[in-house]
Amino acid sequence: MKGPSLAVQNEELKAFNDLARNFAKKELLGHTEEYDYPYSREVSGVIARAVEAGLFGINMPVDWGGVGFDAIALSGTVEEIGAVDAGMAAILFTHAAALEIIAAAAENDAESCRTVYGLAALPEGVPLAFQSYASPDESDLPVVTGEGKHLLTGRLPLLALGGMARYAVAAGARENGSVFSWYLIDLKSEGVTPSAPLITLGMQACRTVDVLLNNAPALLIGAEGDGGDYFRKTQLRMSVPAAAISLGIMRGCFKEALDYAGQRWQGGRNIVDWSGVRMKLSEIAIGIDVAASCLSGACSAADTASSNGSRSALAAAIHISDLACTATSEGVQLLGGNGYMKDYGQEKRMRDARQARSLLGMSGLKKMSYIDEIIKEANL
Amino acid sequence: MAFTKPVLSGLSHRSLGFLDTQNSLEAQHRLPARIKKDFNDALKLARKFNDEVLHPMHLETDRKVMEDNDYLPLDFIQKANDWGLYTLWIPKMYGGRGMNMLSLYTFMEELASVCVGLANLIGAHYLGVSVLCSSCNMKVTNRILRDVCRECESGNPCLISLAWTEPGAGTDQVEAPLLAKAKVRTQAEKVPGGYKVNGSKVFISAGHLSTWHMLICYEDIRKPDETMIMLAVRTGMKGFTFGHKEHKMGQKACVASELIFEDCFVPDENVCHSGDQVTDLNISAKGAALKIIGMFPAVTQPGVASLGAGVARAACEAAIGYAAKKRVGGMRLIDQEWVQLVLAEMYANVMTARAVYMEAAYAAGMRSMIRLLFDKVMFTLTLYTPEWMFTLFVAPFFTLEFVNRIYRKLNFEWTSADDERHMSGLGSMTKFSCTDLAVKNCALALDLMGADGTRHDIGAEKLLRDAKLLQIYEGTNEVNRLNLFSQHIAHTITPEVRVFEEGGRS
Repeated sequence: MKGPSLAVQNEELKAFNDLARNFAKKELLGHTEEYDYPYSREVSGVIARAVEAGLFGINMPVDWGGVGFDAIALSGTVEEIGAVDAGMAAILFTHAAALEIIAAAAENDAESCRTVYGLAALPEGVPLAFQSYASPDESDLPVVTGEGKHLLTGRLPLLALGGMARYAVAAGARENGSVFSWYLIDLKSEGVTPSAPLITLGMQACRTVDVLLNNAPALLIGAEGDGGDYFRKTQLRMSVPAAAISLGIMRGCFKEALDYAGQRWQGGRNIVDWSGVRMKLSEIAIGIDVAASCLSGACSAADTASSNGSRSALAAAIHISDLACTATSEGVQLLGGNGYMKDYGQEKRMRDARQARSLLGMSGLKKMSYIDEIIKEANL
Repeated sequence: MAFTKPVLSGLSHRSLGFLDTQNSLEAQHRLPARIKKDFNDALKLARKFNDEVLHPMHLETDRKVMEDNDYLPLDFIQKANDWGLYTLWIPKMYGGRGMNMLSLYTFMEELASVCVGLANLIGAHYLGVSVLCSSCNMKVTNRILRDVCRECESGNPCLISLAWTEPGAGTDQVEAPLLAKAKVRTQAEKVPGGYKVNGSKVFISAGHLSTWHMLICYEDIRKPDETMIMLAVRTGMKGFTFGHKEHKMGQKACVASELIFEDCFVPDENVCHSGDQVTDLNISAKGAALKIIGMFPAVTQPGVASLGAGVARAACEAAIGYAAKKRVGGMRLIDQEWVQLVLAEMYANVMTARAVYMEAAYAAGMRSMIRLLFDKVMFTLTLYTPEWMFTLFVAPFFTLEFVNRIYRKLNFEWTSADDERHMSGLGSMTKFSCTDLAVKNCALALDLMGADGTRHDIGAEKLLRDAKLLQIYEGTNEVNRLNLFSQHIAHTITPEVRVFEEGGRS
């Protein structure tokens, strides 16, 4: 499944980054506020145009019409999109994360995943819904019943894109089972009831719903009981694009703060001429440079496919999302009252950065799993 | 370079002397013992009001404004008025019910522990009341506050807003050294019988819901520090209209309004403060203006701080409640040591915030513009004198010029410079410390709650959106840090340290 490496060094990927930048400029710039509420403007149109542009196929295997890169290759794309609208970046992220679960399963058993890929690759299979904001470890999973078939009963809270996607990739567990598995669920099938769209703190273009499952039929992805392994692989791979979204948010935040500081007049001068303002701008800029280095390092390390490399991606995601939360809060502060208003982009970035922090699970639990791996290797 | 000895000596002896910062200790014998009962009464009232009014409506109100930014929570305003909350803390001498004003801080903390947006629909009114009182014009203050009380008691909520911030000048107006450079646009031109006002104000809390507006504007916009005046504008006056409502990230229940003045005539009887009123005092017009903008924040900023303590508490309670229920890997979050450490940190933040704003509250009772109300004799007399006696025998004196002159002298001339500096710095420190702790606790809560914390229907994400505004209004926390430096540190340094005046390209 591993495709060309290192997004930042690859010419093809640079082309994708350019595509993403142009797409963001053309389709998102000036419209982010319209998509930033689940009951406002429909996002299906802009998603369709993103599909048409090929932004959803980056980590889809070539055999199924995709580009065949790995999830890390998605980083540049979501960073560019995230700098304008992290909500749209979360949509790309959600679809890609679902594909990564399938890819992880296909590593061991490619044949059994053909049917899953077949459905996911169909026009109505794009985008896929996925619980992007949680890990299965922290969720009460739907219960799986049935012999020779898989019927799911329970709840899928905060299912990203659940209100518009045809298929969802979701985890479920047999009753009293200590392990879980992944399933492809047809959201139009009987026994599937989505809630009204949920209001979330940020990234609201990526609509979320709660889904109730009542003996809903599902297709097993990979081997039963191997869900934990697939998720860990996905979490480590998708940590790089998760970090990239946070970096994109920071870049957008800095640009707006700098532009504003150069124009806003306080105390008899442009505020950019006050050293206190410069210090804040400097701290955000340093955060961006640190995050970019960190992300680049994580990409390189991930390319080695060692356990240390995978951990670097997780560490980068945790650290960069933290930097983004701090930077965007300061970004609001630099604009004062204007930063708090929707006329500017800063308040949205602050909310998006906080939402991005919960991608693929609680930050506290991610930190715990990070140290667990190290302790396990140290045989302590 | 290390601190020189004289600098160290200045910091420890002149500014941060231990006894100067022990307001609670001093308050034990200087403030009336009765205030403790008032605090408890305010707390009980707030809890009842929370249970019956705030809890059932706060998330729904937030959502209604998300869907329709023009939505105004009139039902809340009506209920708050029915509970008597818009007159409860207005002094009896001005027709109110005369609850001890310091108890408003604990009341606000309690309300903010549910919804700081709705809480501010009461807090913003008392900001307006405080600003009106800071004009030291007892005649106008008495007339307006009695009008407010009369309206409220007849069932019509009558709120007062503070109309100060302008599109091109926010921070500049709140700090005395910056006022001279402020790019203000709202001008009051003297005309026969009053003033003609042109300009606009933005970000005015509860503007659309208020009947009276304490308008701070300038006779000469090129000299704002020398020509500041305060006018009382009533909704409905010719030439005064409401503009747009801001689309805010949080505190959505409390509308932030644009106020537009186009040849708005304000009669002389509504002039709360102007330079003319202090010509017979030993203070310049500029000096009086700066006194006013330094005086009321010392009382109102601990109020913002109490809102911060309330939000910090709400975040702490949300996190504890969540951790007690949430199971991860078969174990409750709250049973895990790392979570207990986070919760202890959050709890300590709440206690710290409360201690800080209470310290400022005690100081306000002893050294701010409301100190007279807390003189033991005055306090006791006020407590046991029925309101009608104030109306009949005290209020008429407020119309006498010599009474107003003495009152202005008391506040503009006979105040200790040390007290002013102490209160100004303390107000700033209290405001930024408590509101920073509020935002910190919200972030900790969301970190702990993961995806669940980001859901609107759970309520935790709203806390962060709401808390962020506390770091911005009543002076950004950065400006308040500079004011603290200016008031408590800079003057102890030799040679003199310039604040708000550093060199730059311009």
